[in-house]
Amino acid sequence: MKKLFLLLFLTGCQTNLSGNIANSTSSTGTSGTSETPIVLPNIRLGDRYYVSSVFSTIFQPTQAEGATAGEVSTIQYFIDTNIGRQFTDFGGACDYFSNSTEYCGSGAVNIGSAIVETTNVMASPLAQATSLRSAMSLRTIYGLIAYDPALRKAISLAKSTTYGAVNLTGIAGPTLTELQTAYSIVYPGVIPSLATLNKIHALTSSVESSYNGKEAWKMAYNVLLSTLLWQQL
Amino acid sequence: MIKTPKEIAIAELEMKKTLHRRQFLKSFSGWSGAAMVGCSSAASVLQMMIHGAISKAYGETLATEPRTFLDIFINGGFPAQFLYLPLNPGGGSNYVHNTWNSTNWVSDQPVAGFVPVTTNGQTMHLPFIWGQNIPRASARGGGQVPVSSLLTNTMFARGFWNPSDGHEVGQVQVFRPNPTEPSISGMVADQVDASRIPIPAVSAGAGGYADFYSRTKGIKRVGLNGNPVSDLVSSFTSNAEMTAALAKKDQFSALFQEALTAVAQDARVLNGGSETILSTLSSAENLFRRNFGNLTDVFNNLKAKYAALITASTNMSELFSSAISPAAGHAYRNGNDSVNLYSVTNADLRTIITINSTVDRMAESFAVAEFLMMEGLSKAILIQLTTLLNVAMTKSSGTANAIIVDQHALGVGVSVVANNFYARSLTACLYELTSRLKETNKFNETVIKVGSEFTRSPRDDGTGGDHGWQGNCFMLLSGAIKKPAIVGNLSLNFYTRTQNIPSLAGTWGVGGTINHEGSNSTRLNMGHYASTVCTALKVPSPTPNFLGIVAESPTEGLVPLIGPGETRDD
Repeated sequence: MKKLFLLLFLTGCQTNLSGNIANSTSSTGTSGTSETPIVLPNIRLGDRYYVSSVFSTIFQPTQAEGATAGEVSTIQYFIDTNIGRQFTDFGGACDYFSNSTEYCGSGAVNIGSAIVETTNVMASPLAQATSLRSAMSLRTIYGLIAYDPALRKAISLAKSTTYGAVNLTGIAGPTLTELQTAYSIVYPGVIPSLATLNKIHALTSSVESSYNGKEAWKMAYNVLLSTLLWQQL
Repeated sequence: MIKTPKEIAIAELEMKKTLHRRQFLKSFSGWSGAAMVGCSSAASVLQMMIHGAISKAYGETLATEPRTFLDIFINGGFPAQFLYLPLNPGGGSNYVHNTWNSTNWVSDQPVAGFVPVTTNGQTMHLPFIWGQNIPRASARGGGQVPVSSLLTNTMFARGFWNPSDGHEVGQVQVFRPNPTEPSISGMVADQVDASRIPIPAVSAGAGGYADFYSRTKGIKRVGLNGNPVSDLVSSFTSNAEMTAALAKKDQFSALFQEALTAVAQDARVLNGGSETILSTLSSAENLFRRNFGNLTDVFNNLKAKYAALITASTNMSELFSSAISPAAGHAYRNGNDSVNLYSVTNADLRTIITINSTVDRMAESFAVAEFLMMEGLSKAILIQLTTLLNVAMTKSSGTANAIIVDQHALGVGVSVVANNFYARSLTACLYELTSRLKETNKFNETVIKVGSEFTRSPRDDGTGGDHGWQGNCFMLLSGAIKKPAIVGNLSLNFYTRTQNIPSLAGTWGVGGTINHEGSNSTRLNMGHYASTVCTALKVPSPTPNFLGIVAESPTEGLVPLIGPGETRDD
C-alpha cells in the first residue's frame, strides 16, 4: 500500500508499475510472513556530513582539476550553508572535534579549536525527513546545477573525463551511457534499467531540443537527485 | 499471505503499546505493594484501575497527532503567585500568609490579594490579577474584558519538586527532565507528521539550558531581532535558481514525473519510509510555490497588536485605585538589578510602570507564535520571556529602568506593581492569542503552558524572594480543558515546622504530599511534571515511570487524575 501511495505520488496516477511491486514482495504462501524484509517507517537518513559529502563528491571540483580557488570555496560555502550548518534539520551531532559554533549552535563554547561545552546542541545523531530538510536539499540541488563550475564537475563524472575537458558551451546533452554513469554516482551500486534510462533520456532530449545540451544536463541531475531517496541509508 | 505495510505498522503500534504497558507495570510494581498493604482502600484500587486505563490510553496516543504546544517560559523564576500559583484556592484557613507572597496593596499595606472567581458554578480563590480586567485588541472590539475570561480553559498544576536548586538545573528539568530522552518540545517534534508540519519545533528568542533536543526532526531556533517570521520561512523562500528550475520542471512535467518515478524505483530504496521523504519533498515544493513573499508587514502588524495590548496594560490605576506608598526606606521599597540592591524612592510606586513599560520581546514572541500557529507551520513553539523594561524607578542614587525576573531582593511594594503589570500584559496577550485559536478552531488541539524553572520562596520581612525550587508549578490553557481545575497539593508550613527556617514560613508553594501512584504520601517531581504536560499534548512522556496528574476523557476533555489541590499540614 505504501508503495502504491509512493507511485501515485510520483506519477500523478499516470504510471502503472504494480507488476514490479508484486515481484518485489511475492508471497511465500505462509500466512503472516513476507519473502522480503519490510522496513518500518523509522527510516534512517544520512546526516549533514553524509549529505554534504555526496554533494561535494558530485559537484565540487578541486583546484588541481582546474577550478579556481574562488569556485571551490563558493561551492563549499554553498553546501555548508545549506546542509552543513543545518544541524537541526539534517542531524549529525557535534563532537569534540567540531570546531565552530556555526556547526554546533550558539551554545557551543570554543576553546582552541574544539567544542568543549555545548549547552544548546540541537542536532540529532540521525534526523528524519522533514519539509525543511527537503527544502534545503532542493535549494542545494537547484543552486548547484545553476553554477557552471559545479555542473562541469558533475558532467565530468558522468562522462568519465576530466573537469578541464568539459566545455559547457555547445555541449551535447547526456547519452544513455552517460546517464547510466550519472545514475550510479547518485545511487552507488545501482545499475538502472534500460527502461529507466530511456525515460530520463526522453526528458533530457526534450529539454535539449527546446533549449540546449547544458540545460539537458541540468535536468538530468535535477531528476536524479530530486527524489532525495539517495539520502536514505 | 503478505502483510501490508499498514498491517506491519499496526503490529508495531501494538508492540509499542505493550512496551509502554510493560513500562507502566514496571513502575507500577514499585508501589503496588504499598498500595495493597498500606492503602488497600477501594479508592486505591480504583486509582490503580484508572492508572491502568491511562496506561492503555497512553499507548494509544502514539498513533495520534500531538497537540500544538506553545511553551511560554518565564526565564528566571517568576514569582508565580502573581499569575499561575493559587496558594489558597479553597479560600479556607489552611493557609499561612507570608508578606512576600502579597499580590495586592490595601490601606497602605500589602495583602494576600486572593480573589474568588466563579466559573461554571465553581468558585476558586485565585491570584489578584484574575479578578481584574485586561485590554482587548481593537480589532476585537477594544475595551476591556475580565482576566477570568481565560479561566474556563485553564488548569493550574502545583507542587512539583525540582531535584535541587539553581536556574540551570531547574531549566534542564523543565525542558528535558530525562537526559536520555528528547525535550518535551522534542517529543512533540518527533511525533508530528513531517509532511504536514514544515517546521516541527521552534525555539524563539534567547535559549535556555538544554531546552532543545529532538531525536529525529530537529528544533529550529530563531532570534527575535529583525523579522523572525521571515527568518523562519527563509528555507522555503524561492530564488532565481529555484524559480528557473521549477519552471523547467513544470514545462516538462509529464516527462519529469515519469523519469522521477523510474529513478526512484530503480534505486531499490522504495521500502517503508521512502514515502515520508517524498511527501516532505512535495510539501517543500508546495511551500516554494506558495511564495511567502515579504512578511515584514505581517510580522510588524502582529507585533504592533500585541505591543498595543501591553501598552494598554500599563495603567496601574486600573489595578490599584490608591497610591502604593510604603514609608521611605522601608524594605518594601527595595529594588534590585541583579548586581545592586537599592531603595526605590518613587512617592507612589505605581509610577514605576509608565506608558512605555513592557516585557522584553513579549510582543515579538507572541507575534511569532501566532504566525506559526495560524499558518500551521509548527507544532511546538517555545518562547522565553524575561525582563521588565522601560520602568521608571528613581532610587537613592540615580534611576533604574529594568526589573529582572530573578527577583532576589524586590521589596513587596515594588513587586506588587511590577509583577501585576507583568501578569496583566501576559494575560492580555494570552486572551488575544486564545481568541485567535478559538475563532480558527485550533484551540482544542493546542496546549499553552506558562511556567518558570521554579517559583519564588519568600523572605519574611518583605525584602524579596529566593529560588523556590521545592514548588514548581505551571498553568495550562487549552480548548481541551473544559472547566477550570487546580491540581497538586501544597505544604502548609513545611520549612518552619520541619526544618525550623523562620524566614521561609508560610504557604508559598512547597509541594505537599498527594494521593497518587497508590500512595497517599507521594510528592510530585519533575517526572510527574513532564508526564502531565505530555499527556495533555498527546505525546509519550520522556519520564514514563512517573504518571502525570491529568487524564483525557473522551467527553470531558483534559481532567485532573487526582483530587482538587489542597494544602496539607505535612
